[in-house]
Amino acid sequence: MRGEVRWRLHADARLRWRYWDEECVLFHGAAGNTHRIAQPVGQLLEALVSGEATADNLSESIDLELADVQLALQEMRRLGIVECLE
Amino acid sequence: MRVGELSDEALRAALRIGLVIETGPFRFRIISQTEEVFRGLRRLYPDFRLSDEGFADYTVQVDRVPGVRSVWRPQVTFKFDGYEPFMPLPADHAYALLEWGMNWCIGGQAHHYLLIHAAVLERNGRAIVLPGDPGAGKSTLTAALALSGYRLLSDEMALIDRDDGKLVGLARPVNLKNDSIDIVRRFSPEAVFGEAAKDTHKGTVAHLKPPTASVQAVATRAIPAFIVYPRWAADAGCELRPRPKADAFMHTATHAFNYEVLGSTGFDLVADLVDRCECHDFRYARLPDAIALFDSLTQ
Repeated sequence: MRGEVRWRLHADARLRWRYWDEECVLFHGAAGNTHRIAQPVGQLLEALVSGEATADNLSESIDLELADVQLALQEMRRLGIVECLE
Repeated sequence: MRVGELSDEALRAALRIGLVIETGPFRFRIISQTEEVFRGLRRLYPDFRLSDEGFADYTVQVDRVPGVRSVWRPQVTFKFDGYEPFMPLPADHAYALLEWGMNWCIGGQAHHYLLIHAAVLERNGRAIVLPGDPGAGKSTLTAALALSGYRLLSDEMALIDRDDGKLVGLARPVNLKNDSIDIVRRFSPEAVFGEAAKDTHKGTVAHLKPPTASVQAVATRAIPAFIVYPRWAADAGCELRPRPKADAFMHTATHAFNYEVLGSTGFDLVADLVDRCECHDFRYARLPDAIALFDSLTQ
């Protein structure tokens, strides 16, 4: 995956989250599913609330390794939470 | 007026056409001509208020199944607004069937509350929510706490108000199963039980009368302070361990009857509950030790 691909939250995602300790619980309104995720992944999604971003942008803004950001984005895409603009 | 103020004749007459009782925020119209239901209500519901209004949230009926079969193997059936959600059961399970059916009505329809499969008790203004996996010892602990001065809000279902997040009481009888019946009898010899229903799908079942003070205070909502996941084990000591809140969230959501139904509101309600509560795993072997620990927790 190239770093310049832009990502955004899926338009219908309707997310809510809550943080406790090092964890985040995420509610994905479009699917009605709840996910228990690591805190940085929650922060990554929060960063996308303000608009599209590349994996590089996200890696810088949330202090997460680029490879981890890309992995998280792929997983969130699989769940229908984010989409990439290729 | 309360159920206990009715004469036997008046109670039977009311049950023939519909006895409307208030249990927390709900009014149940109960229709039954079975002696088991009459005796169960007479013994376990004397403190419950009768509603003098015509309206009832749920109309339920437990009565004998008619026909030839009723002679050699009498059965009873539960009806909700005329609909029969369950298979008929042996006649001596009539009272247990009524209690299960009442739970079924609330669990399936009262979506103006978040409904969690959990007991709720309160002491000193601090409510304890006890979600229970089957066999964890939730109802045994609930009965012991209720018999030790804790206010019983519910044995089976925690109701959380969607507007203020407070816990709403039902104060209905505590459903005890198998060995826990004798354990609670030994713990409190003066405890009042209904008749045991044997060979149910849950084994032997008997209901414990809720304390009068709990029934009288049922309208007082409680502020959640603790979520405690009990686990009885013969070799356990008496140990309380913090449970990570994200873990408590997932477990509590799993135990909610209508989490998915409520969508984002359900998420917010569970998250607020977890936010405002201390969350603990609790292992215990002896009820007196458990009570002492809860006493110190709710000082």
